[in-house]
Amino acid sequence: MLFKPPINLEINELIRESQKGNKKAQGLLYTHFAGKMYGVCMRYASDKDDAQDFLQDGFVHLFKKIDQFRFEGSFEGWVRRLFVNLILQKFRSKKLLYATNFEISPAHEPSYEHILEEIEARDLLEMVKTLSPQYRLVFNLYAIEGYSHKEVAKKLQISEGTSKSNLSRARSILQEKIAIRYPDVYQMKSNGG
Amino acid sequence: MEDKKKLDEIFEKGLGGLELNPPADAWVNIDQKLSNKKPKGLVLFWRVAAVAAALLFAFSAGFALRGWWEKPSYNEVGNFSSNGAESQWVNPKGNVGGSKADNPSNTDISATKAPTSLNNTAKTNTSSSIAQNNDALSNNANSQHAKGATSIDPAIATPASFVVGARPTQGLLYLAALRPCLPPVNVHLELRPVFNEEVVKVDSSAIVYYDSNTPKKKKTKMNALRVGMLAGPSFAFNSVEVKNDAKSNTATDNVGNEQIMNSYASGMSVNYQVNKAWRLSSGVFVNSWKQSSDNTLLALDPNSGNYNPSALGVTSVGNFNYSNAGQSTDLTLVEKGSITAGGNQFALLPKVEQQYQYVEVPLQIGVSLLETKRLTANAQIGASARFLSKTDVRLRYADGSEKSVDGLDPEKISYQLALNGSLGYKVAKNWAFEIQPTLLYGLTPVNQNPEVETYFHQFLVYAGLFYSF
Repeated sequence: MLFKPPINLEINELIRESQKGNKKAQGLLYTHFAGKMYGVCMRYASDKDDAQDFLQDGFVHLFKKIDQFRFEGSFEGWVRRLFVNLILQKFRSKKLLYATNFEISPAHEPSYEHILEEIEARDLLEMVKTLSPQYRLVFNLYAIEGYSHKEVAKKLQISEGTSKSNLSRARSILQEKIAIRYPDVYQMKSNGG
Repeated sequence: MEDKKKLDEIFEKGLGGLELNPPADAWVNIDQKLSNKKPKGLVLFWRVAAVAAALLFAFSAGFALRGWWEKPSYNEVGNFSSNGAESQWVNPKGNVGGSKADNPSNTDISATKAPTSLNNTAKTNTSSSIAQNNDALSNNANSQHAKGATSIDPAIATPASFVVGARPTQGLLYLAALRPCLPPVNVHLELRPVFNEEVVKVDSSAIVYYDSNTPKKKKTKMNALRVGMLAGPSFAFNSVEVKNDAKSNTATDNVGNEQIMNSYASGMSVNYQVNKAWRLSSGVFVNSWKQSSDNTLLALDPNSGNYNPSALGVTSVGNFNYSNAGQSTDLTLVEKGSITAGGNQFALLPKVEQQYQYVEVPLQIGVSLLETKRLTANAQIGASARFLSKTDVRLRYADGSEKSVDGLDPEKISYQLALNGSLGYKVAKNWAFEIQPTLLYGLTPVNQNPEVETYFHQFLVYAGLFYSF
């Protein structure tokens, strides 16, 4: 069970204190956002070790850059973007990104209308982690973060077409995973039920 | 298309707001990484400034306090009291002739004080006159003195500006100059939150979360050995006990006339960290003790009433014993003919300057009082063995000439209580600058003189750099 600490101080006050280098405030901010950001990290990482590295480096990066936050918009959104950008940068530096550009036949695309929404997040996460880094990044950025193909292409320094094809392939792989994991669900779909 | 959106929605709904328990030690690692970031700007400036100021302080203090006899001065010996009577004195070098020697109690010569126009010839003549009146004082004395006289450097005959009393003040000025250069001290409460079901309230504004199953802090390799180079001024004081059965009535007067000089010490300190709290310390330091006196009396043999080789003068370290010392026949060491005070006759030595160099080997146990990322504070207690490594005793005449003498009797080994504190600032990885106020309190006498037991004490302010292995 995820335990969230009661934060007596306003979040903005914590941010201001963190900008001054107040370790206590930084600790409380960490406590408040660590769970969410670890979730983000786990979505992008291949394993727990990578996710932990992302988390630690992300917060170090956050507290170094926190004085750049101008209290315009959501702090959580700003933190999330900062984390995602850092993770992408790490992928680029490790040369884990590579073009995977091939089309998937529409005939192979399954229907998801009957997929149960009760699929647990843990299973979804496991499925995402099985994707190759390139597919995983595109899928995360497009499907979960909500970036457009144009934005994804810019962030990953690929073409929009590549982004689209990668997304399609990622979806296909995930569907297959779901079919294996939840055969009944897939069977229901196949039977038109 | 609908299926695609549906799949995306499933994943977005399931993972978009995903929250997971982060690793328990994540914050500790983050905190460490944040603390290890390179200092920059003003912080770096202050660190460099602090180290530079400390080194400047240590070495300038050493320069200022080094070998004080290299800048000779002669504090004119004025009237002094002995047994409640005020006696007049003269410097015999310019005035004492055969007649003065024949009548040592003659006070007429008191009108002439410490002539500054003294030259080598006059001094040699004086010696010769004395020798003519005492067969025991042979040509050997003359040759010795003549040898010393010819070494007079006119430059050093000029009274120097060195003022003993200014040293402590000077030391404080150094300290005052150092203080603004110290980096700002910022002690903060470190929060180490980790996820857990249990909450412990520390205070109203801070809550610390802990997990008994997770480490509080990643264990880091402890630097067990530290070596540091330290240097700093020494502010000396002593305690002297004159025995009731003192052989010489001059003992109290002579000891009371002594002036203790500040000096300088330096050396190497080695620390072994037994565990996080305790450590053992040792090292090797070169320390020195300096003192001078202007009015050292020599008791004359009442039977002869003159320059008798049995003349004896007691200092806090030992006796000027003319009968036993190597200079037993060299009465040119005596500054004046004789003095009558309280019915007794005395001779008077010129200014006596004594320096004793010691090698100190302390052995201490220390406890950590404060340990933050940058600051450390420790207290140490132990004992220090003091080995006499060098003795330098000189007589300095009014004209600036000097003569080395021996015959004093310091102990070769003595022991002290060694107390010190240390305040450290970690200036870089493995490097720390420390200031160590140190008290060395004598536990055993430093002299063998049966009439006077002397204990040397010193307060030192060491500063230096330590490297941790």
